[in-house]
Amino acid sequence: MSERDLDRFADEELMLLVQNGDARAFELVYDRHGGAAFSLAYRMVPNRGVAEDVTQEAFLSMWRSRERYKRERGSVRTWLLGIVHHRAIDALRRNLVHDRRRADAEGIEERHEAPDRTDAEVVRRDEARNVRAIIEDLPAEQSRVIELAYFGGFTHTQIADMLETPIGTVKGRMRLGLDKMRRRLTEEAA
Amino acid sequence: MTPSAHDRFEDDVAVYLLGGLPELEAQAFERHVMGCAICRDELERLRVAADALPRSVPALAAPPGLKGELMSRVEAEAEPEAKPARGRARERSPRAGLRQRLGQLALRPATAWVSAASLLAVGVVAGGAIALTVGGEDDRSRTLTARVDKSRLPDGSARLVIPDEQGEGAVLRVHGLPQTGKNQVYQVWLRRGDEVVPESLFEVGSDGGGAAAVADDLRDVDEVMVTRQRDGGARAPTEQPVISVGI
Repeated sequence: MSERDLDRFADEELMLLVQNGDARAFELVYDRHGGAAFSLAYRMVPNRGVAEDVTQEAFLSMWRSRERYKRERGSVRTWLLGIVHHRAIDALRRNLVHDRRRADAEGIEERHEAPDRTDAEVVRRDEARNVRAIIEDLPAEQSRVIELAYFGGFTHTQIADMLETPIGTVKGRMRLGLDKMRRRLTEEAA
Repeated sequence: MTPSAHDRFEDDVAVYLLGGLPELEAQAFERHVMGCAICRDELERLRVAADALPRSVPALAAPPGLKGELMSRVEAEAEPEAKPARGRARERSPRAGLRQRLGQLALRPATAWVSAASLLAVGVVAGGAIALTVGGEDDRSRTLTARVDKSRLPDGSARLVIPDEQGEGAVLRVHGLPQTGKNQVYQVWLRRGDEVVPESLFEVGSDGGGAAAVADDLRDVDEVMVTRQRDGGARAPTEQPVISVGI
């Protein structure tokens, strides 16, 4: 099968080939999602070298556990980004400099964004802006705990200490924030 | 499930989705969710929002060299898989530096990983002594019986079948292990001196049986170990091993 033929496949179809050990199909998955994976890793960990390691290890983990992918559990992209997130948290908690500034919406936009090359990338860029707008619309105390946990890799007890707030309150803000995000996303999808 | 058990976990759903639970609490939550329909529903409901978070990150271009390094490792692993059973040996990484770096990261002092064999030997475990059986599955193979932490895997047993003197293409066979939840997986690790590096991931069937390929050359390996990790595996073990085989 030529590369051009492969390119016509949706991610979930490519994964069927990947599950049979097809390295070319896996390469195409990397081409499609390597940028997103690296972007998430670099948003979470303090330097580019660690972000590269996290990205590479996440893809290797994806390759080695490819038989575990089930399309009914979600998209390939969501599965991959979940692995990147876990790997980045592992790196942060192993203490590779837990730079708290990263948990704030630090200006990642100042870094070099990838130019849009395809329609899909334009759609994703719009989607990113939209999700950021939804997060920014949350009450500040809710977006703060969500960002500290998800992007900062801090545990709920660390966040409670950091904000000098009871753990129960931190948990409640996380739940309320996610629930508001869910409603906005659902409304917009409808 | 008692109401108090549910009360204890219901506020953890969002924290779990955001990755904000420490490893042990996350594992306890996953075990609870398997038996709690209310928390499962809430998990799926809020997952929509948690899954959107990574999509908020502005897209950066992946570093140009990353793909080449990654694919050389993937292709090295893919090729031997096309061959029959034996000789699944994986080539050493062309980027030894990365693996070395990850190995160093894997052994932070806080983790204080001691030799699993020595820990298990002081009575935490009721597994059998390590036994060497020459002549296992074929004339040149040998089989090592693993120590199993009976406090966590009461019905578990495991053995490592090493096909030849090169120590390549070994297979870890397990029996009587509980199935992991959908967010968890068994992960194999190799310990060389103070360095612990990740190996393969595996699941067990409904009968508790399973097998994991240990593709690396085992000649300089001191121990093969297994832990339970989050889906996708980890770069460093987050619990003491449930299974350990001294080489």
